[in-house]
Amino acid sequence: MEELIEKLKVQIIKQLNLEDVEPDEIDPNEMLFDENGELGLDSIDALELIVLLDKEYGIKIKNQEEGKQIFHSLTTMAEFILQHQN
Amino acid sequence: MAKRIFITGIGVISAIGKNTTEALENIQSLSSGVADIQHLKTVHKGKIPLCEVKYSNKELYQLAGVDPSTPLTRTALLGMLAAKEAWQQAGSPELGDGKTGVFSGNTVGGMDKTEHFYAEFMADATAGDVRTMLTHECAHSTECIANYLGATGMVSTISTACSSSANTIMLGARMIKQGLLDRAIVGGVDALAKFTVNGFNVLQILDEQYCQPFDQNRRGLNLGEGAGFVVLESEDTVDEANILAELVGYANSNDAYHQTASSPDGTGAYLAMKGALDVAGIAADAVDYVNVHGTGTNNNDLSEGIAMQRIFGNNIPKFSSTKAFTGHTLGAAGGVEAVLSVLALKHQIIYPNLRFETPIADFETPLVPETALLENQDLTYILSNSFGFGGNTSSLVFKAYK
Amino acid sequence: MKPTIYINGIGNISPQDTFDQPMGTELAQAESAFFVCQEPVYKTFIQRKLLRRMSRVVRMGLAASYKALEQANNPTIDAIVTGTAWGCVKDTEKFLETIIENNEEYLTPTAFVQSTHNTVGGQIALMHHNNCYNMTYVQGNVSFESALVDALLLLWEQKATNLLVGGIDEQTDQLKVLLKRLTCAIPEKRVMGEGAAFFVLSTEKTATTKAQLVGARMLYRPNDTAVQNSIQALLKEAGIEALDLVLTGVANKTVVDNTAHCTYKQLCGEYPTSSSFATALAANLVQGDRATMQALHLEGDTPKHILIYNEDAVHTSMILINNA
Repeated sequence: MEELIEKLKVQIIKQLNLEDVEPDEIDPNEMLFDENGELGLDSIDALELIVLLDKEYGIKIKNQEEGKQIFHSLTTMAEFILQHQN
Repeated sequence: MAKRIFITGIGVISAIGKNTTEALENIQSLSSGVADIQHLKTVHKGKIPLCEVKYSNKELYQLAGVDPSTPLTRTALLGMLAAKEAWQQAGSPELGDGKTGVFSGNTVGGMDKTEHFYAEFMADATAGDVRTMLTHECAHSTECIANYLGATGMVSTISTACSSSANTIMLGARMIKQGLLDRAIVGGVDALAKFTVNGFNVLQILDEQYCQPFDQNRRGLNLGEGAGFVVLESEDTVDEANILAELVGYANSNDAYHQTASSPDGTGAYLAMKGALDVAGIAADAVDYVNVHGTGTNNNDLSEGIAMQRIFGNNIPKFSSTKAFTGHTLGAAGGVEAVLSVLALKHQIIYPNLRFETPIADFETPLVPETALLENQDLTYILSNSFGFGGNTSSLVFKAYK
Repeated sequence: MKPTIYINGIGNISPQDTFDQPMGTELAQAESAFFVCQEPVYKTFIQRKLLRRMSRVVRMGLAASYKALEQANNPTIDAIVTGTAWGCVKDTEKFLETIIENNEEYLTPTAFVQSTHNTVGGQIALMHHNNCYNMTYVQGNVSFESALVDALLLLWEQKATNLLVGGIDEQTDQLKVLLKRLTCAIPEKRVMGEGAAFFVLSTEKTATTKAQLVGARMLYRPNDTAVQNSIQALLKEAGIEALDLVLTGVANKTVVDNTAHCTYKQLCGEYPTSSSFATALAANLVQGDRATMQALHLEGDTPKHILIYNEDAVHTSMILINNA
């Protein structure tokens, strides 16, 4: 789980082009899509994460609505991946 | 005293026909242009429907009477055909005296050809016909149109996503009013390409079925292609016998909310509609019909609906989205829908919003578009909306000429 | 009576050192066939979490617009008008490449969204929460002139008191390869450039006013008579009989008889919106900026009336700048 979270941090930084953000800056339980949060991700980023999940983990998410729950935090993302990965 | 701006020619090519006559015929027979993909080579064939113009490039060359060895993109061909129809209707005026402007709205230029070249180029940086890149820029198709009609003087291209051709219509009018031009051929064109189909697909706003604008259960838009042009003329130089309608209002604003999504309170849309009505010098209740942007996406239709409520209160005029017929033609949308607005005024008809079943639940007073083709109307003012990425929102107001 | 139009702020990112002053004293030289911009540190203008999605062309445009606004003391802006021929090249390439590489799968929405030509204008509006008129022109070598003509119309129509207008084009590695193949870029002979130059135009003369923008013209396939008529019309609008300088994009061509001519593309390279760079130069010159005079090897009196001129196979354009 720990390992997956660290891996996800690196992948997310790359996919979302989070320049200057170091992996240890991301709190695994922090709300990713908080407007006022450190990362301030938005709906376009949610789509990017959907692409990431498909490309790296073979998991297809139908739409942004479904994505909202899964992408709540890094931890929820990691849990989802572990549950659904083939 | 501001000069009046008259429309003396209209031309359109789209999924519902190669000219205005065919477009009207298909609308009257309720034949939408949405279908399985025929021409575009993409992995999405069979999965996503599109509103393609029902002619191959070879056939478009023939329609245009141009030697097929001339390097032209599909974009250029579509634009040339629609612009020529409009120009001919306006009496085929001589365009070489520098008093006519040609302004076209376009988003992806010659991408239909570029993406083929790029595939070869990526495999080998020395491969492919690099001259394809000369037809890539948005300006290229506009220049082809100007050359085809023999226009010199002022030529330019606007690229503001889906409001592009509404903006060229506005520009033409303003240039004429300021005395820089006597006439302007304005509108826009876009051809389908893998670039755009995939772009909209990855944004998850494409409908895998036939779109249902303003419906509670709408799933997204159907992409289309085509071109729509109008000829604008100054009241000082126009031949009254050619007048089809009048352009009385126009405005452009910016939503400034998000790169692609519209604001929840429809600010940009509201400002565009209000601005256009102000320029027209009319109150909201004078509007007889709204040709909405109505793409069929969750976001646009809700946001546009909210903006309409802000403008019209509970007295929403008759409205419909013609994108259920033509698809969303991107840079051409404003031009195509301007042509349809002028046709509506000429024939006193209101278009049906195809495939509408259930009003959007978010509105207390339901927003119900017209679902049947209405004839023998008494239309004076039509409002036409075009809203694009980058928050670019534009509206036009047309008036019947009697 | 048409109002007089002033340039009250300039933000210029170019291959020369032009961001923090009108012109650096040490001139940069092109490398082989390409001139690349000297860029500011974007983090000082734009928050990191916003910056990360912005491609280079958007950063350049934003930074140049910030600088222009800052110079003009941050007036309320009534319109944002941009000109760009190449558009958002990097994002267009990125999306196209992914489509081809991955056979239309695993595509990145950000690149598509950022590829639309009006992204720079849209981002400027977003950053300033500005709902005003916002237009983007994409007409090759007259993209900037188109933006200027529209901007002037807005000011004359009194739809705007202060507005932002700019020209911007970026190079990318792939584009450089293509430009070489097209023989647009020829090492040591024809240098291609890039840049972002934004201006605050105003109907009000203020303490920050740098120059007067008299007018702009863009002509499509004109004959010589039409070109000369346009020049004369501009002079008449300015109320002047003669020019002091023609700042030209075309070497070895006399545009106006009995007038000093000076080329500018040796400082910025050839690119579609290079006339925006020339506009910044002209605004500097009419203020007597020494470094700009030196960069162009100009001596003698400060030029007060400057015509910027450019042409290609189908477009001819001119911009007239006066001292204010």
